[in-house]
Amino acid sequence: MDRFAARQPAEDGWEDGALARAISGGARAAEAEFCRRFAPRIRLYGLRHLRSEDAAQDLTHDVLLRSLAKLRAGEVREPERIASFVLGVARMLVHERRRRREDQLNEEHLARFEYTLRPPDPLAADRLRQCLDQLAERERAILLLTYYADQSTENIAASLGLKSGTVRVIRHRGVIALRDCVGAAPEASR
Amino acid sequence: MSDNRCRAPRRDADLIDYLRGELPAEAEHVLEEHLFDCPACTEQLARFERIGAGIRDLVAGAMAGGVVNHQFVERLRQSGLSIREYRLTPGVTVSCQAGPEDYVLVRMAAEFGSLADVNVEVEFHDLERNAKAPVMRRQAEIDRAAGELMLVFPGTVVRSYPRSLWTMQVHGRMEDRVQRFGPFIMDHTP
Repeated sequence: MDRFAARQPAEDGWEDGALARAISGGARAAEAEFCRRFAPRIRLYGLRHLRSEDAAQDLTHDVLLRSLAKLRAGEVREPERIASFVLGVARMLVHERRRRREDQLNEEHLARFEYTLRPPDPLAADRLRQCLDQLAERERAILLLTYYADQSTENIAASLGLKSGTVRVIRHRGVIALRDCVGAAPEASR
Repeated sequence: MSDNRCRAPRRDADLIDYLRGELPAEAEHVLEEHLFDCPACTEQLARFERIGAGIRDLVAGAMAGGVVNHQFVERLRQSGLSIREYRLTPGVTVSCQAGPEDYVLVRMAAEFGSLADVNVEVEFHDLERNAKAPVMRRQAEIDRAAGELMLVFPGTVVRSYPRSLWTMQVHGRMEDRVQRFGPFIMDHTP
């Protein structure tokens, strides 16, 4: 079964507490909704802390596995705070990964469910390139150094003779401008 | 969970800094608690993550250029992209010929020192038509460690230029006085 195929559950709109209780009660649809809801959040957390798409996806798989095991067993003490529980599992596993080289994965329990975990559709390259070309040179430079060369704010600041705070502000401005230009924002900038 | 909007949306700047690992630990901890509980802010975060990934893809696909530094160039080389490099000094004409490379790197070297508010004036002379374009003025940045102004151009862009002469002047402020450097001249053959 392709674990990356997308399938929406028949029921959704559960509040977190109701979702957790439904999972404890054995509702398959609730487990699928749980995976769909939390997989993107865990992936982004993994990208932040593990700096790799592959590692983020592995982390997502592991966190969902362990969380579901606890939920099925009714061992989550505060079902209404399921989000905090999942975050706690994610933190624990990131910590373990940093200490261990290999993880043993038990895929048996997740094989029954399908959830989308491929990276989101990439932005249209041509549109992004046009938007990037419209930026001021300094904004474009800082974004290229940040996201391609993966340089820290301090490195960029030293390289360009700017203050770190200035680099950060320019980066914010550039990224937000790109977001608005490519039309990804559903509402006004915050 | 039926309403996807957030009643206390997180600042765009914080979301951008979070992905870079540049939030203070306490602020990051609080933000993560919120993100795991908020699909709307998670979606905003995902948009910013896609922007960063999109920029990486553009550079890796030899579709983006601009002002860079020596660490960026090193990253290009490490990733296996082909780079043709030209080093320009004031008053010396350098011949360049377009080839199949992914990127063309132009390095302008002079005693830039602490030059600030840097701009490059570019005069383009189409030698095939004997026509000069209006002088273009672009903001630029000096790589302080290398002491050079470094520009990368996608190879596809360079290969589209006709037989031409590019004359560049760099100017900026140093100790409250305007300083000019150049001319930096490239004799381009397609």
